[in-house]
Amino acid sequence: MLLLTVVSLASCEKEDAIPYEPYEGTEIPTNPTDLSIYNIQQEYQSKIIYRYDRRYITADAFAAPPDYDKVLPYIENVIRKLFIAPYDRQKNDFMREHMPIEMIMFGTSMNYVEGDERNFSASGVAYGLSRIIITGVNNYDLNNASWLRGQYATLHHEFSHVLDKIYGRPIGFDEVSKGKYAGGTAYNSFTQAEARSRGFWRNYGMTNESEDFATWVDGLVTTPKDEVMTIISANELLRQKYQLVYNFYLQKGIDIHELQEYLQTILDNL
Amino acid sequence: MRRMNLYFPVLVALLALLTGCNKETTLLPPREISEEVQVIADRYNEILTSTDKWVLAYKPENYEDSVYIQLQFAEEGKVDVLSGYRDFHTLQSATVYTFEGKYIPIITFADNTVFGTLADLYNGSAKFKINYIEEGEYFEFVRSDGYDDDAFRLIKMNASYEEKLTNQIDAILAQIAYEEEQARLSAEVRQKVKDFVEIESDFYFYNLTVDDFSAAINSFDTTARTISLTYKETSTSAPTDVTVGYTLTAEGIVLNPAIAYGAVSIDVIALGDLQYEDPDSPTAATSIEIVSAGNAGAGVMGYAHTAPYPYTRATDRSQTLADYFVNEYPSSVESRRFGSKATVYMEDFRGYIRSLPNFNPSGRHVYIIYAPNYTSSLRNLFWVGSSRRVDSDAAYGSMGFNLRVNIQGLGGNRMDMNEIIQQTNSTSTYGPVPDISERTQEYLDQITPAAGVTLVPYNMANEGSSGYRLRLVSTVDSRVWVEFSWSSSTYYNMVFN
Repeated sequence: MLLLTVVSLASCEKEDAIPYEPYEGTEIPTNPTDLSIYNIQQEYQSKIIYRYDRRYITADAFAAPPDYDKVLPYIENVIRKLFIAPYDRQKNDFMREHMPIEMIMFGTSMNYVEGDERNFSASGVAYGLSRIIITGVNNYDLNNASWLRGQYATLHHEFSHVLDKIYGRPIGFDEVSKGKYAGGTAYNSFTQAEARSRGFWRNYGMTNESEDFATWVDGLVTTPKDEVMTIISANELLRQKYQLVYNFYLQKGIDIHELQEYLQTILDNL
Repeated sequence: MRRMNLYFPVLVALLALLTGCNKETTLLPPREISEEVQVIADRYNEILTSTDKWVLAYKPENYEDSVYIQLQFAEEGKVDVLSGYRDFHTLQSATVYTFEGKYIPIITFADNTVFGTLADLYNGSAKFKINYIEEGEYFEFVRSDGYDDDAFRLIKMNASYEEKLTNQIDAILAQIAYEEEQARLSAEVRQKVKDFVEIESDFYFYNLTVDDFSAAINSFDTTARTISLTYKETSTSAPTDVTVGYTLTAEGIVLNPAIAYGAVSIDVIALGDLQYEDPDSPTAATSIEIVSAGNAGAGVMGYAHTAPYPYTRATDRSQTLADYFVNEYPSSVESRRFGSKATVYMEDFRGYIRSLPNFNPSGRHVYIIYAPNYTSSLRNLFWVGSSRRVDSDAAYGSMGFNLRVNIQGLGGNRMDMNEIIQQTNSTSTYGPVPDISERTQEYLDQITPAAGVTLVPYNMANEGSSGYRLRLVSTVDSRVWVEFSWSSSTYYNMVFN
């Protein structure tokens, strides 16, 4: 028995130790654009991608890459000042916890192929809770208030899709205009007045419940509170949705009216 | 139970009332700090409190320079703050600071500190992500809202930074001293303007006159803060009306816009002392000294005996009213009214005339003056007369005194009408005519002194009528003036201004 044990042990071939290879972290970029992206990634766990990759666009759409020279100012003045700061100044670490994992930049809008049923241009796209497509970067112009407002409206719109995916829309939101949605691109046949009468901020919200929620958000971040109060006083459907969206953000530490005021202040002083 | 029934409705109503009074407020979740961050914060607190003084050179986005901020951290979340920013340039003791954050420590300073003010006014921040750099023994501050990623160092105070902070504080103290002086000067200017607008005088003219500019002051409105002037760019220019706003500063009256034409530019009027030029009321101010008026020199503003500029004919600006009166006036004029002081002289003279033998004191034309007639032999005639003799017989009679007066222009719309050459052509239907030339000369010395009179158009629209009269205003004492009416509409419709 002893002999057997000895033989048995002797027959076990000793494996070589796995060699230790120290981890090499990502090298800190030296050029300002990539350094800025690196800093945001470190701080918010979000990666900004500006290098053109066809895979980020659906097969029936096309878009141009962003001009390299406009990437850094866009990050510094639009993403930081108009997208991150409005939330984080109200609630510490909000963007660290909610910022999409990837933000893909394109120079133009996302143009869908003509003849396609979806024949239109998109100013932004959100994919689940992980990715936002930013478009129109090549039109970067700090003196163009209209463009800036459009950019931050889109960013906050798409970001609301992210929050929608994380938390779900407020309970009861989908019920308010139930049966009044247009579906697909049919929303185009409704006027603003008709959309409002059905409880939508604008007719694009009639596409589906998700866009309904997101259009309310972009409406609230671009409209002063007193104007919002006037708009929602038109009918009970608008009032209900406003309250649900407002409370949704407030429960997360964000007063969306304060956010709008801040954005307007930044816009006025850029 | 019954008692309950009695009071219950009252109680409900009271509760409803109280509930209704509650102001709706937005409640956000409390600030959070994770256990991990609290550990770091505790360590940071140890480091911060173990050093006497720290200093941060902080530049908010919209502030042009860095503000040096000295911080002395104490136990229990208190920090003494001294900064090179105004209103926070003296030590602010025991302000509150806290740590927050779930992932990275965030240091938050109270809103009532320099940080809160810089955040409000210059897009700065009172909350910073804080990170201790071991090797350098300093902290790095980055505003916590992600607005930018600019890092500021909180380092231990040293002599160099102490000097920078002291320099900023000294500059603030100097600025405050300067502003106090400016405030004092501004108050002085305000008082001078107040004194000026309160001046009351019966001098004829109300002018703003300096070396290279002269204007009639139409109004000085301290409510609307406007000054309304009429001036001429040159002696032969048409008059210009202007109303400008003004503000009072330490420098004086700042006009907005400035009055500017040619080489003249008046943006600021610096005031001097009140002037007292009325011998009848030596303690009453008549004007105020102008030390400077832009680049137009010095002078005075207020009541004066001379006109701000010569009045010239609208259809021929080279012709002054005096020129016209002396050289071309083709008909007679009659004296109508007398200024306050001239009335005294006139009444005295009238008394003299009335006291003459055989002169009817109720006569209509007691003191008529026929001034020069260019075309007739009556040129340069001063005439005093009565239409009736003293007795009441039915026959018409009169007594008149004709005195030749030397009338000549003095330039600049002034005229000499003082010297009596002789009494001649006096007429009377009742007895001999006495020689009144000596007393009349005395009278002329009073109302048309040898120094001259200014000829001033008087617009009858001021009295709801039409046309113009002219006034002979003594250049010695403008309260002495005689008003003449033109003899026909041909003349009184002529515009001199």
